[in-house]
Amino acid sequence: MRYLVRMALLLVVSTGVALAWNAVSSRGIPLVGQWDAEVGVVTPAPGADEQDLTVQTVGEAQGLWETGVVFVDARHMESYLEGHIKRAVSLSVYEFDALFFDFIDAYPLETKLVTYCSGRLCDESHRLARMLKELGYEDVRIFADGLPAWAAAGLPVEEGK
Amino acid sequence: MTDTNECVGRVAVPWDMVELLCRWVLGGLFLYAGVQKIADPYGFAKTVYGYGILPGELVNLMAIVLPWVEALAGGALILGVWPVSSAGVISGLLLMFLVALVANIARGYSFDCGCFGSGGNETTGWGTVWRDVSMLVPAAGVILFRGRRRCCLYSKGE
Repeated sequence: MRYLVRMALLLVVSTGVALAWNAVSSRGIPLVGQWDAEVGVVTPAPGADEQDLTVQTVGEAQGLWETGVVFVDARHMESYLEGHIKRAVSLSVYEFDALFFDFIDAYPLETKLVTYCSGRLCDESHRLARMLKELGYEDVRIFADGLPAWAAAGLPVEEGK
Repeated sequence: MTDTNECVGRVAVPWDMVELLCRWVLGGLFLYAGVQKIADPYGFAKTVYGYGILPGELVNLMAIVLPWVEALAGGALILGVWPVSSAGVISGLLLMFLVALVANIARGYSFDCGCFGSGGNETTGWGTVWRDVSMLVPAAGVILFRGRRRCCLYSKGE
């Protein structure tokens, strides 16, 4: 009995410290994340306005693509080379620091962008959108269903550079 | 303890040292695992989600709290604060991980284990299950030990 009380006490103290730490730490995450794939890309830390910015359907994405919005592939460069949405630009979140200068040169901050990765269970598109906004891009949206849904709908895909 | 165990011709196993070793090794592992996860709650939350067991509302909370339970229970074990209770908490965690691992193996899932922080290449599988089970041995040893514990800050409380 004594041990059970102490174990419970240990858990309570840990929980208290954890919540306090999470509140003050710069790496803290919200108490509730976005883990519902129906709603959009899953992520521990959804931005307040992100749900509105999510492109929910392939049809909507196609509409944006046809008006010339720039699609940005957030995945590894190798995945991009294996296949990507036609005319999409590669800007891997894993090499962002090395690549973003060239990206800014090529695409002014007013450019309308849509990020994507390989569906709702990857979060590269999410992270890339946040990074691009921090750079100063104003119109960045996230194509939640990403490449698999695009390809499955028979929309144009290309390989290589 | 009285000095009755003067076994002539036999080497007495220094059980108090074994107990101390168990506490330090197990405590060290859990402290390390906890700190790794505390450093990257974002990554660990994705790992918790990857296990596909908790409902979405609880994923972040688990990712925030669990690493601190590991780290504090591990630290308490090393320092010798409530050793039995901390070893009890750690056994509870190990059993919980065991259930999570086996449940996913049964479902045919394999993904980032996240055991010592996310981002490793280690995936879940029988290897991680056996490691989990083998850590239960020193935990049980600490709990069952009946004797004077060495290097305890607060050993009276056990």
